[in-house]
Amino acid sequence: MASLFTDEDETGFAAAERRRSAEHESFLSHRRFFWAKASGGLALFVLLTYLLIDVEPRHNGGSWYGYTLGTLGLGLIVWLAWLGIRKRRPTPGSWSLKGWTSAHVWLGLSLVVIGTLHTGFQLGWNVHTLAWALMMLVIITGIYGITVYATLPARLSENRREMTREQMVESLTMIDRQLEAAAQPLSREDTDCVIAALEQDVFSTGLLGRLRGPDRHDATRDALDRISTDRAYDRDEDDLAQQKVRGLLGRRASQIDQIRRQMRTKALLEIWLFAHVPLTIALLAALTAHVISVFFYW
Amino acid sequence: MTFLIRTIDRTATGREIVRDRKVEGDTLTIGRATTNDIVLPDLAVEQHHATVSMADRGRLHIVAASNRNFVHDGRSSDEATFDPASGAELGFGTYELDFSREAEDTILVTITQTEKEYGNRDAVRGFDLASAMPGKRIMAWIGLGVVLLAFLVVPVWSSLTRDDKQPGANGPDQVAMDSSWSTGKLSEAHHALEQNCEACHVQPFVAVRDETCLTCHEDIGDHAKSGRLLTARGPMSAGDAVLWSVAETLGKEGPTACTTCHTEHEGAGRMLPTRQQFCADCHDGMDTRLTDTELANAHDFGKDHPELKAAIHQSLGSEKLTRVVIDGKARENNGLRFPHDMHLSTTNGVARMAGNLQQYGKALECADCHKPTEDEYGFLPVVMEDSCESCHSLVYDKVGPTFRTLRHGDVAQMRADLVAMDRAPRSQIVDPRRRPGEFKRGGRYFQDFGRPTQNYIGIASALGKDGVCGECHIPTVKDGQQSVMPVFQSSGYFLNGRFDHQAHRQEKCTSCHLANTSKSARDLLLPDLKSCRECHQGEQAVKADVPSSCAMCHSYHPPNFRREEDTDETAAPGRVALMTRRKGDE
Amino acid sequence: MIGALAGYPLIKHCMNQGYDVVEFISGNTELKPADEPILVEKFKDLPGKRSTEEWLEFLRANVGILNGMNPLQMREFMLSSDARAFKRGEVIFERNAPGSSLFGIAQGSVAVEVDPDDPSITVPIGQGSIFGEVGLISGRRRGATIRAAEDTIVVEISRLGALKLQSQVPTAKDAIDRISIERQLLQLFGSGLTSQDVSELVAAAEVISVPAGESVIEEGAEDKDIYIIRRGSMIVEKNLGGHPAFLSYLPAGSYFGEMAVIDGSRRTATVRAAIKSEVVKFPGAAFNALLERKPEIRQRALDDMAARREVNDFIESRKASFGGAVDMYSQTAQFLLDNGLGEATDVLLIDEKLCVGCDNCEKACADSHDGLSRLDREAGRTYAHLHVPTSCRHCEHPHCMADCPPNAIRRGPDGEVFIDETCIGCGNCQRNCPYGVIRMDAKPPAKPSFLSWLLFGNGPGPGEASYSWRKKAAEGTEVPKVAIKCDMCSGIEGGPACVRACPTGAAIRVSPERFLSVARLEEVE
Repeated sequence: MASLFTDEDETGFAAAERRRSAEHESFLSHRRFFWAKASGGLALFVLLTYLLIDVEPRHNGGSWYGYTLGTLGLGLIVWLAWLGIRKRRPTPGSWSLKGWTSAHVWLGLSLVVIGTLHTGFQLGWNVHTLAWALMMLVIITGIYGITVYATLPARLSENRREMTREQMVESLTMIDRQLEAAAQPLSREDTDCVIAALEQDVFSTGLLGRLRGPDRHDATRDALDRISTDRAYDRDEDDLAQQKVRGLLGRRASQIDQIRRQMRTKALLEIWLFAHVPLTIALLAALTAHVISVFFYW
Repeated sequence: MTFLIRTIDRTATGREIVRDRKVEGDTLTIGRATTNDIVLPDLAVEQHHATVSMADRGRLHIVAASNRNFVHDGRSSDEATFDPASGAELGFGTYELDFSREAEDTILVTITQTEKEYGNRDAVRGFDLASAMPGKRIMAWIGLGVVLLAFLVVPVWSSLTRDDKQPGANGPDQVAMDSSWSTGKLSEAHHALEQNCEACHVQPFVAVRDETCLTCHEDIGDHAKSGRLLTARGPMSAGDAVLWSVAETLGKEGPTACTTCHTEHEGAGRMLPTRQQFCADCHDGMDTRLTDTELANAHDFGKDHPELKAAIHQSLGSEKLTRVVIDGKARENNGLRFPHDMHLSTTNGVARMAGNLQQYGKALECADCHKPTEDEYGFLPVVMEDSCESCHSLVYDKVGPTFRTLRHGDVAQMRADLVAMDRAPRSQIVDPRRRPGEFKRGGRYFQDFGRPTQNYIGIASALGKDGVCGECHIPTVKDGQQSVMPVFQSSGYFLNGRFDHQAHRQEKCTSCHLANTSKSARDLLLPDLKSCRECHQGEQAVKADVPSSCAMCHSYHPPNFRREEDTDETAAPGRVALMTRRKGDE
Repeated sequence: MIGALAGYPLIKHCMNQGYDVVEFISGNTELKPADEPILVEKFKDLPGKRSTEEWLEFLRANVGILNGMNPLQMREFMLSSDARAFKRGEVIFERNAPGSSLFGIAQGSVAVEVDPDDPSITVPIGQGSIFGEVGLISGRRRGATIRAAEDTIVVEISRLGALKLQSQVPTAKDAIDRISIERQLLQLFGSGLTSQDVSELVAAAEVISVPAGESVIEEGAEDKDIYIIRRGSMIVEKNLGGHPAFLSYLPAGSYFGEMAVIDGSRRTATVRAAIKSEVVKFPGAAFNALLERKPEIRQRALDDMAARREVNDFIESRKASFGGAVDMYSQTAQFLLDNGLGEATDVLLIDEKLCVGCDNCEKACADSHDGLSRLDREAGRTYAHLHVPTSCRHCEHPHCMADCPPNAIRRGPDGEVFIDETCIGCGNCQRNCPYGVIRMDAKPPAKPSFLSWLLFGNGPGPGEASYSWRKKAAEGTEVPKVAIKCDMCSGIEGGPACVRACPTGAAIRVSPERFLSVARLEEVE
């Protein structure tokens, strides 16, 4: 009768609640490291069977065991690559991308064992080894990804200090607006500096510029240097305009630094994907060639 | 302190209405309630939201009254201090308050209401690395294209459009880029085919066929008839059955196909020897499956291998080969009389004789008579003229400086030579031997060999037990005439095995072959299984001197076997001895 | 003018009344009121042939809380309510179903299944009484399944109707309060009690409204009352080493203050309102008297007390060894309450130690809902890497519902607050939401298919299309802006897309009572 909500409640809703609080685990520890255990077990199983099963005359990809590992590895790779589709298509259904990521990460790591044992350590200059090498590259970039995903996110939030990216851009626009108004009384040379600063686009910088981060010399700092250090001795207390421009330029520089720090952390978080994704596609192509070639020359 | 409050409103037509008013005092309250100095009619603003007060050095201090924040220069905060001289913008809900210093004691606060476009997030895309990198999509397409073109399209296309689709090693390499498909170097034997994949991989998606192998390997003999092979192996295990059903579904020829055992692309080098398990699969307990076989079970040389058997001529003069167990008691009857001990002695007359002859050392050695075959697996038959005659001379006459020698190996010829010995007039005996005792006439004595009757006696004595022939051969009577038994020499005693003498050359012959104590040529001087096992144990016997797999002595498919049904063993007409060798060793 | 004189609040009603009067003056004595067809429609399915007038009178006379209304009020009242007939055994609503409507029994009776494990244990509610009132008051889910015990006619009063009723008819408000207090007591202490047992307590009960942040009980005080939270929520704090340490969060329907009542000690902790709340105060003596009479209730109360003591002791012990962790825990709890978790039923939180900023939550949100994201991941407050993004909290008493002209904002079957397609785009809700989670935007045009984006880069890709793309693609068509907000992905299998689409586990949806539990302290450590 009364809509009370007590802890004895053991219906579906309560169960859903428990599920939710249990979900506050990172993708690495998802379901108490279920996928880590599963993939570790898989790798160990494969390693043990590799050592125990006698393959005539020696282990290679062409033995029955090799084909089994190959099929397993191929299935895994295709499934792992499917994550790219999965995460971009929020279709209905009770899937959890975190679960997928967790499985992706851990099973992907187990591929090092499965894929390498599939080769039977017979490597050479051929499309088969190309596929293996691409797979290893994809996994290595993935390991970088796991590392930065595990270590960098807090930096992102610390640097933001509750500002959204939109607000950072807005703040810059706001400062620019004020700067333009405040710089009206300045001399020609000073104005040119301010114009150069205003024209500077913090976002038009390449990969290296993004990785270098804040505290760099740019038009804003040049203008600041000019307007502050040049006037250090003949500071005119009455020159309100200069004072204001100086303050605004300082704020602009620190705002740019915040944006740059954000861009750098984001670049570190994202850069691996620019290798991981194209390499994955190349890997799928190499795998296609690998499988077709094996059966073509059966 | 004066705050000059300037409110800027816009009419629907976009016209600006500017209203100024002054607030005297050191603090300024901001909120939704009308009691505030600055009233902001926005529900997102608290009734009393924040208070601005004077701080030192002309700066202003603003603090939020509740836990609802305000925006200071784009940043959400609950407390801020700023210098109005350098300007500041405060945001409360949709309102923006712009502070600046108007005069010494006057601060201008400009209030504008902004229409915020929620969701226009285009600007933030600049934060993403994607705005500074080549697109993943284009990189992926390029990678995909390059890999597929180079490693799939080119080889497949050139394979499908090549002219000559015959198997065999002699065709030219017609498929481009297919060396990138090779999973590893070919074995040394197939090295010439390294670039020529289509020599073996003739049809696309068709597994390498036996007939393709046989275009080069024409005289490979079968191990056994296919039906017997299958019977001998017995039913496959469930796992093997599954694997083969999968393999056959995928077009593999089956468990008896060449490629089942001969895997290629395993790296340069010899093709690796077959493991003992491969043999044991059938030969272990084969008698229960292949009930008519004479072969005993074997699965490991050290643990389970039948006693060695030698194929010998057991009854004198018979061509028939009998397999007997080598146990030290077995005797062969090869038709020779030859005491090995006497010949190998280092002290007796034989040794003395050998010492006097140039081609021998102080005493005779095995190698003086036994010459290895070319492959050094076995030994060539001992040839009388090469090995025996230097001592056992067959000279029967001297004509001038030349000696006449009996032809060895041909009884009829010998007979004829001896009969015809003194037909020709002979010269005087130049150095007659003086007979002891009284001299009769002429005072000289010589033996006359010339008379036929005498010669016949000579033949009989030569073929007699201690005659020049009988010394080594066993006399017999053939077709009413005296003769010797035929001699059978073997360069290999084993039917199915192979003994590599070359590999044992650091051993003395006599450590296996007890020739120096053998008084009779009938002794079978072959070592038994036990002495082999002193060094050789099974494949897995790591402690043994030589872990040995089956393939060390046995071959799966030699070109042919010396089986009774398929041997071609008839003596050449008129020849005493029959020298036999396994054909495979020639 | 005529309508206004008659005291109608809205122009629509005044016009209707004016029309009636003019028609009557012009001699049309057979005239039925303008709302007659609506009422006829409402009563059409009820058994028994009665006219509209008779039905109205029947309901008014039989349902206790409606007794105080005049026929005109009754007519107006029925426009926003429903009369429904149930066959014997039919389910009226189920346990844990969301719903904020109030039911009055006009004929027959219903049975309440008090024990979720055993449907055979029921408590009857008879003719004239009401049920479903706690959902109305606290905004939480239904506490029990209710079936018709016989063929029954009920009147279902919507939340708005019930609120209006309470403000217009003081006797109805009193009746609802009294019944709800009594039931809340019975529910709290199980099935061992009857209404006679608690009548003394109910009579002495007092409903107190507490503004957010105000204390109900002060630590160390000597008052001896016991309280039940009727709406809103409370937080329990204890002063440890000069700082208030957060002990627990009490949602509506909980009781507190029992320790001092039972063992006569001073108050051991401070209880203050997390948000504007209502509590029912009972004198401790009366409660003690009840416990004297009912030893099994006493035992239960003692058990509850022991459990709470355990939490207190745990936190105190932690304070000694892990002082920082307890402060952190308290501050985090305070931060979350400041950000509206106290009135939330389900809120999206982001653990910024895990969030890589991929914005997949926003993309998934947009792609699940007409291409517009209902959440702004970055906006919002952060404390100790715990971020409360701008996204609907699904408040117990949603502010957005307060002033929606077409009544388009409703609470859905899973407790979600959603805006239906009748939205006229006035923007009231956007202004009323204190958390800024409602946006006004036009539905963007359809994007090219996912595959054509994936392979060839056609269109803006997953997620909300950029403003420029939308503007260009929508050229020439005029789509009105409407209010959009999180609907907790209701009707989408699998639940909220933002959480499902988070690759790292940073995004979680929690209800406050789960999240603000001691378990979190261990996590903080």
